[in-house]
Amino acid sequence: MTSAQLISVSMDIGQRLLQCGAETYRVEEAIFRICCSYGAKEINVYAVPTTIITSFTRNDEAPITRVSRIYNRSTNLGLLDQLNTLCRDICNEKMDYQSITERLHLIDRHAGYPDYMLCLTTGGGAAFFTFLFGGISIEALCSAITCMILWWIIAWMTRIRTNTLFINIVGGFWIASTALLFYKIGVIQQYDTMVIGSIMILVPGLVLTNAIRDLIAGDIVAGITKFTEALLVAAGIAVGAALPFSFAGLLVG
Amino acid sequence: MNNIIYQSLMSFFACICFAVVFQVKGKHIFFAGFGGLLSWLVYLLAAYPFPESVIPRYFIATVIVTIYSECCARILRSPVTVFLAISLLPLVPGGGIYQTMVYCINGNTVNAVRQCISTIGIAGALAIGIVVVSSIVHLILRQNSVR
Repeated sequence: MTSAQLISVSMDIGQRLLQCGAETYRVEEAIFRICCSYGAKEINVYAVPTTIITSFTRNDEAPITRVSRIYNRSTNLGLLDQLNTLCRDICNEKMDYQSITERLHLIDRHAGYPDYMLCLTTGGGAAFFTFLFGGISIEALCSAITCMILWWIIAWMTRIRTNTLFINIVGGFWIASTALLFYKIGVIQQYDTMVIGSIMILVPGLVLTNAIRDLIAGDIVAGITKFTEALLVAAGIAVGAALPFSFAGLLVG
Repeated sequence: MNNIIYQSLMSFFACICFAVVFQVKGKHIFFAGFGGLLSWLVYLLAAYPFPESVIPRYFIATVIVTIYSECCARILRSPVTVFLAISLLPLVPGGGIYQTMVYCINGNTVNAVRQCISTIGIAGALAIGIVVVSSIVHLILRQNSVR
């Protein structure tokens, strides 16, 4: 394997890992280990949620550096699992370039769950969280329906590449306004539990926790980036949710 | 007691749903969901020794769940995150973040600051719980490989 092939393979894996929601240290360690097992020296990897920079020297060649910009991230733990296995295999077996790219293609083509399944489980998750926060069956049903429709809205907006802040404003607005509507027409007795249960599918609690983990681990820049992301998402949801409540206040007086 | 079992079961089903949303495959879904049950159960049971403050309850629940996830990861040969991210879902302070922003927008600064500090405290308790356990596991594994 040439140095150019090595850096492109390791960056491809690192990029996918970061995109499917791996921790910062895992991305850096994966790239480091792959480069290390093919005899690279002076390896430096720097990863933040939006960028990866890798640099190494090999066989007394001039140092080689690659930068990769990451635009979209989501949580895909199945993909993370597969990439982790691939990474371990590469380090143990010293696969050649051809077979690594074949494995990567296989992973890329690997189908996730079908859309209707994701939609149903999003609704189900929201319903069970409503139960968990003290809601009753009818509230859980309302939040399940709301979130299933919200899933389609989010999927559509992601497809046309709307930015994260706007998606969350729309999400917060949709949840709060449907909750108010159900409350006003007398389907549910209180809207708090329904709003909090439904909003669990949007809120960045995991991002906030990972941000503090990164800060403790010493990845200061990555931690602060994630922290800001969590604040931005939360602000979007709150702005969206505040709108219908203010309007309702104005109308009722 | 009935309430504790009921809430833990709800947490189990919610986590199973989110495991599918996050594309977890096969029997890993069940183990991740069971982690969710465990986290909420420990959180509720910890109310007996620590009735007045929530932060230690979140910390203990996180420690137990991280140990559980590390064991699952070793047995099923998967990254710890697969189990940990889902098991922690009932504990993550989603409601707190939301409430903070609502207070901010309504101009209720005093409550916003109070809620914000408590939310960051909870997130910090979760993070420190994870870091403590995974560092100890790391130490033990390294100890074994050195010998």
